[in-house]
Amino acid sequence: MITFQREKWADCVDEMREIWPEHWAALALNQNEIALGVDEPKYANGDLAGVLHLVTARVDGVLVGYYYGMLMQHLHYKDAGLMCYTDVYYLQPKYRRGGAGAKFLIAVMESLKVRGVVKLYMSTKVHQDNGALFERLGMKCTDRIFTKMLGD
Amino acid sequence: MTIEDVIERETGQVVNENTLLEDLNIDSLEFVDLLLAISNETGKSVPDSKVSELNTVGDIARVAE
Repeated sequence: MITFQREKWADCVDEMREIWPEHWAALALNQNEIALGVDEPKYANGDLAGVLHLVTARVDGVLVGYYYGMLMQHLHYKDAGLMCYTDVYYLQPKYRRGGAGAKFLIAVMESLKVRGVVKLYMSTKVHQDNGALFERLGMKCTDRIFTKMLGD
Repeated sequence: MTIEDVIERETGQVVNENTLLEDLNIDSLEFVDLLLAISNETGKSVPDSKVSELNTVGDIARVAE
């Protein structure tokens, strides 16, 4: 059975490190120009500072997915409450059955509410669009993100 | 209301209360539709903290009672 739980960065980083390459290969853009290089000390420090929010997905104790985001006050709306800016989320494809992806996101949102977070920001890749699921879960599409490599 | 009514496709399987949702190839969109259908039919929402425990057809049936 798949379970979802908050964890500390230090307790699961070794397992996440095993999954990052497949996650990167499946979703990262500009792979020829930008190599995977997770700044682990910064994430660890963020967790120690209480800024990182990390939820894991496990099957029989084995890590099969993760979500992490950063908690902070919005710079324009400092009195509006704590907000969560999603950094990454991933569930290994073979475990995306029986509604596991939806369960994972519901568990993430529930865990954020427990911490007093008032707003969640999520994004999705154009080439693997999760927008329909986000909207089913009550989210609204409010922004579009554009990127451009600025080399020669 | 049956699960097939909600997901709008035939599962092609004999279903009993122990049938796993993953064995019916229920995806995340369909799973959320099931939650919404339960809410609409019963007027009760499944608490977020209990959603991860819905793994079988029987689990769905019990919360829809």
